[in-house]
Amino acid sequence: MIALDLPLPLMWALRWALFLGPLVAVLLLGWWRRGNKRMMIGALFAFLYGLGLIFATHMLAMRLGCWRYGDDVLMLQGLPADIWVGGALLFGPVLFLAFPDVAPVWLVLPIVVGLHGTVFSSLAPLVVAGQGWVGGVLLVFAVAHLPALYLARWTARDVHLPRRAALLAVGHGCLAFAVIPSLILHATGGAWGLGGIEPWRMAVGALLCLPLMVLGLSAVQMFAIHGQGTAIPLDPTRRLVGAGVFAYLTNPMQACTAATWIVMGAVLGNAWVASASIMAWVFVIGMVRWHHRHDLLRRFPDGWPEYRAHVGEWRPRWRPWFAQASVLAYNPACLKQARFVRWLVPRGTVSLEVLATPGVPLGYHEPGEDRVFVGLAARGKVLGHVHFGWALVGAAMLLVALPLQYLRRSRVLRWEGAAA
Amino acid sequence: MISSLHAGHASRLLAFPFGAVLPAMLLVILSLLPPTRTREGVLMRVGAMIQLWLVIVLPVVALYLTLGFPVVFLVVELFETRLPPRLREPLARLVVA
Repeated sequence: MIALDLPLPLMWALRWALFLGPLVAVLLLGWWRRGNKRMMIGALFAFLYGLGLIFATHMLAMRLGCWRYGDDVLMLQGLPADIWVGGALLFGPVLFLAFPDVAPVWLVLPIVVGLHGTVFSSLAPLVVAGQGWVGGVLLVFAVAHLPALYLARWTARDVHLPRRAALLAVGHGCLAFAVIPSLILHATGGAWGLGGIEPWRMAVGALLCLPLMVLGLSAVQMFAIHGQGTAIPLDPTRRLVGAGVFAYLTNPMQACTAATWIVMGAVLGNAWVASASIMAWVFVIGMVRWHHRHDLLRRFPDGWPEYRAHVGEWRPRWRPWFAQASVLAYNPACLKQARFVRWLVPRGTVSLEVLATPGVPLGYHEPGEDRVFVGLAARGKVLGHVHFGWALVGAAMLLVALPLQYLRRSRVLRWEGAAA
Repeated sequence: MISSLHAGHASRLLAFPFGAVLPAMLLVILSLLPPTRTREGVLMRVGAMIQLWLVIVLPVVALYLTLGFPVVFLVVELFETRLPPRLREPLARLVVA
């Protein structure tokens, strides 16, 4: 450990450098790499992910007493905004654009050991290290910085779509439900004050948020699975997605974000946080519709208008709308499958053809796709053909079943690779 | 900033890179971007530049302006889709040649 005793002007210079250094570096590196579009998109995603996760992990670390920041300039919930944004730039776009071919863990490790390990506890009053600061640093690097760099790398190489979609969803969640409410509370003089909220109110809020989270996460999952892309138009889907929750609502992510803000506002007793939902509406009217006209309508000139004519933006349909029918194949000799089909058919599924095919596992197939969903995933997909309530149950099942299948497949591929 | 520093207050000095340099750089970047495909894109870019300029010159309300950024896009959307053409076209020609 190096014991430094920096004079105050040098501390000010250090704070300038921690923000302006990464800012200038990202501009220069961005200019240098401007010809590689996917690399630039990866860098942007890494920045956005870092922005959300650095904030969330710092809040946790500061609450655990790992460190606190001195001074009172540009503070957001005790975190200096310039250091926060500078960190998101440095441990995202800057490191990635400078060393795109170096494995992220080798980029991050020397910084953790060489910089934080030697001078972190000597930077008072800029940052005052507390008990367990090493654990806090490891938390920030493991949850915020390292995944940000992997997200950039995978996006640039267009690999690991499910992992990218998951990281983007986590990043969006932190930005939407931690950063934006914190900014609103800061601007309106409010505070989180979670400790003073009655437990019943927290419990009701959590119960209301649960289906909203399922709705939003399921939309991200459907984009990755059926669209082969992410929810962000810079890394768009290759196909028009009308499956799953999209058969009920065209903007499930914006709807779930807006509704969650209303619930958060009610739980916190803060009308300003709830009114952020108006900004979500403004965003859809101003930005999303523009994207629909100039991107989706051009890429899917037939499918998009037809889909949009049947499915609304904010209010979900009770019964789904699908452009074409899907197929559920089941083995009538299998008791479990036959019982499921007997339960399903009287509920009046929409656009679902049920085929009795001896000797097959329960399988769900959508028109124009190679993939067949089997087992729990097939049941989850089929529930999307009943009504909105069952579609949410099915979406929750898919959020568990498909990542497990993906992880199992990845492990098998790794074993096969190792064996070969 | 200099006078407040002489008075022993470093807050303006410390806030300068984030409050002024960052939006100014974003302003420059927006002005250097290649041409957009649509007129709406140009109007959105101009609206964003005006908003950034307001963030720089009105630091007291900079946070509110930043939180209200989507309003820029709403204004452009309403301008393009709801305003009668006889009003819209002459106004748009003031910005887009």
